[in-house]
Amino acid sequence: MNRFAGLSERLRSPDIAQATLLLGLILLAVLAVGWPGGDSRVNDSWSILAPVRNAALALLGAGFGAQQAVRRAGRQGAQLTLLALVAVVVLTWPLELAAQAGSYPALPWYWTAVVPLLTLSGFFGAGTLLGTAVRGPYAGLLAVVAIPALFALLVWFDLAMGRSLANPWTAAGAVSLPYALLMLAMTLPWVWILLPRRGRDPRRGREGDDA
Amino acid sequence: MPRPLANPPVAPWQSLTCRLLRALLIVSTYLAAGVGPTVGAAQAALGGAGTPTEGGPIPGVRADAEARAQVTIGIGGEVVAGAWNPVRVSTRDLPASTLVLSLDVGTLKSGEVPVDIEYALPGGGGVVVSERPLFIPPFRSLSWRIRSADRVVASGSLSSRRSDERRVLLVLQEPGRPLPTDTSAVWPSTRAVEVGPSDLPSDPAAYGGVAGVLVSHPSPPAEGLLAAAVAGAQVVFTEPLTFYSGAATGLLEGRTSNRLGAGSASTGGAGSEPTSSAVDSASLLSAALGQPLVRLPSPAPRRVIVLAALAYLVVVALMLRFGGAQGTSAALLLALLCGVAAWSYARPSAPQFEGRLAVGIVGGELALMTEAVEQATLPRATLPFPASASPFVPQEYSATEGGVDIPTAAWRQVVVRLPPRAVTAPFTVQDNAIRSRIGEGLSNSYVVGLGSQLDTPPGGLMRPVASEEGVFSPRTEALYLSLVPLLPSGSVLTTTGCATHDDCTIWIAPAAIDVAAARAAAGAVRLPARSRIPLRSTGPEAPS
Repeated sequence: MNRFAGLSERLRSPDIAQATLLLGLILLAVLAVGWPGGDSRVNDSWSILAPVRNAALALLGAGFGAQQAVRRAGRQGAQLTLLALVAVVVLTWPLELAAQAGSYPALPWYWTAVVPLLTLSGFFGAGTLLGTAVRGPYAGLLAVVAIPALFALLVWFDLAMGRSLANPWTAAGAVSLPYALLMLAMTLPWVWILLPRRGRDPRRGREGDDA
Repeated sequence: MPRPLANPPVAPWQSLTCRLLRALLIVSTYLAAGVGPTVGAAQAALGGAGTPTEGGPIPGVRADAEARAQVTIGIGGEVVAGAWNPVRVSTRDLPASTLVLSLDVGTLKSGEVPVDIEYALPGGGGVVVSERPLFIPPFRSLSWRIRSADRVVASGSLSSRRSDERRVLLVLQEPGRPLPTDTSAVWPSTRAVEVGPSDLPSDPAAYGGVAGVLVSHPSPPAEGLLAAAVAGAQVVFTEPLTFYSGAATGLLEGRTSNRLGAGSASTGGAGSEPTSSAVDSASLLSAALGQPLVRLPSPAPRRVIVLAALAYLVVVALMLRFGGAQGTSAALLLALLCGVAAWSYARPSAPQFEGRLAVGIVGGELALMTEAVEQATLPRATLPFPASASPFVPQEYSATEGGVDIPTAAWRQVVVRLPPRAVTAPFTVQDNAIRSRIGEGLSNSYVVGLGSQLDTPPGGLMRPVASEEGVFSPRTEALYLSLVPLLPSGSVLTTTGCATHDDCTIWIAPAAIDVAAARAAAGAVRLPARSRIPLRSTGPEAPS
């Protein structure tokens, strides 16, 4: 099975498929509510949709990162999961593009294109770390508690600093170099895990691929 | 070898005593002169704002720092809040410097609304005077300083007590004469200010807060009086015409009253009423701006967007579920295509939109043109406007001699006014007839009391006749509906350049037509179809 067929299988797996569908419906609802109707001409739909999408992608990234670590999915399983999540980013992009086109936000195009990927990869790494930390008995329960706690911590950190440093909700609406750097730093755990290294068995952990 | 001279050391108490004595000398000198504005000058020089004096004019606003720089805001040092004022800066032997004005135009409710203005001042030897118009909204504080290199050479401030919106009545007379006392009936709610010939600017924009000019100086400046009249002031020669020297009395053109631009020149006593009816150009412009100059673009219909998004999600879900690897690749490709399609469909044509409107008040062969520019921005942006522009709604902005920058939130509009200026009138009214003087025809003509009129061809003559109320384009109709109630009977309204909506000017000649004579001369005439439809009062639409 090649990599693309594996990605297709992973996208069809119930957890990813349900998450993708749920995210699409949420974005559709936000778009329907935020898009101006009647005589209103002020289109501010993007200012709601982009934070919702970015925060949802952060949750997905952290959740699936923790899941892969807890289940010891191994390198290939984690790679396919991450690729599937990147596909989710691409598949939900048109909804944000429609809102962005209509709202005309004062943001450079590269930020709105890059920030979801940064968020996803960064929180996938954070989730991987969390999953590794809580691995063992009651790992699932601990992960369910730890991921919201991580979000609360990041939001509190942003509020305390008065800047958009780690909060995915606010990072979608403004260019923030510290946020990008932090996300890149949080990416390091899965880079460490997923990149092939010399002297390491590439098939290690294959038993968890179907997690 | 000669040694450089050094200043002898001065004890701190000696320096302080010298300053106090010098300040007392300045105050006593100016108080002895007994002239209002110069009292303010002394106070400003000492670093304090002037205070109103009982029964006399409010002291002026001048800063004089070691006679190297002087700032005067308002004619005769009288600031009129909510109007255009001249800002005159006089420097002597000063290198290139910068005038910095800082205003707080906020209110108790809105809090601080800062306005920062910087004008570069030319340097050089001798006395250099520069003057420019500045719209000063009602303010809570106003301060200025002249910065040369890294030091401040003059500064001063005004408190909110000096934010007086009463217009001024300029009394042009020789110093020392008492101010006329019988002006309150004819010039209500005005402040009488004594000025000299050199105090009168030659720019009409400087006279925004001037109600009238009483001329009793033997050698009045013709250019300054003409600028005042064109700007809307009533210039009254209170002495017999033989009293005056120079060309100033030429403004009358041999008559007792002569309309010039938005104002007039006439003869009479200080307490006699001007013979010409006055119109306020600023009020007319504000009324015309009741209709937006630009409209935000219409968004794509919500129903279309939502249905398209729903269809896209369904198709993608089906492709992922049943399409296998080919379905996944097709879904990703579809996402890219739909993204491009959504972008091209929902994206407005431009991030910013601009509209202009000008109202010209015609009097004789001159006209006063007041202009407004409106910009709408979709993304948050700092909107650039021409130099000296001032927003209608007090808001934060910064200005230099190069332009005005107004930070604006997303999906908001900003309307600014430009300094009024004198232009050649596009038409004249003689013998109850309108004669075009420009290469462009006059369209959408309307006479208050007579109704709509036929268009006037370039250089042609049009004699107004009584007609039924007419209909115009929706935009012109909306503009006229807001303007006509403010104009006296016989006023002429016509437009140039409105066909494209880009450079539309409404020309108004107040009370220029004798309605009774026009009715008697021609009687009611039925005009073409467009003029027989009643002027609607609802349903105007602004250009998109």
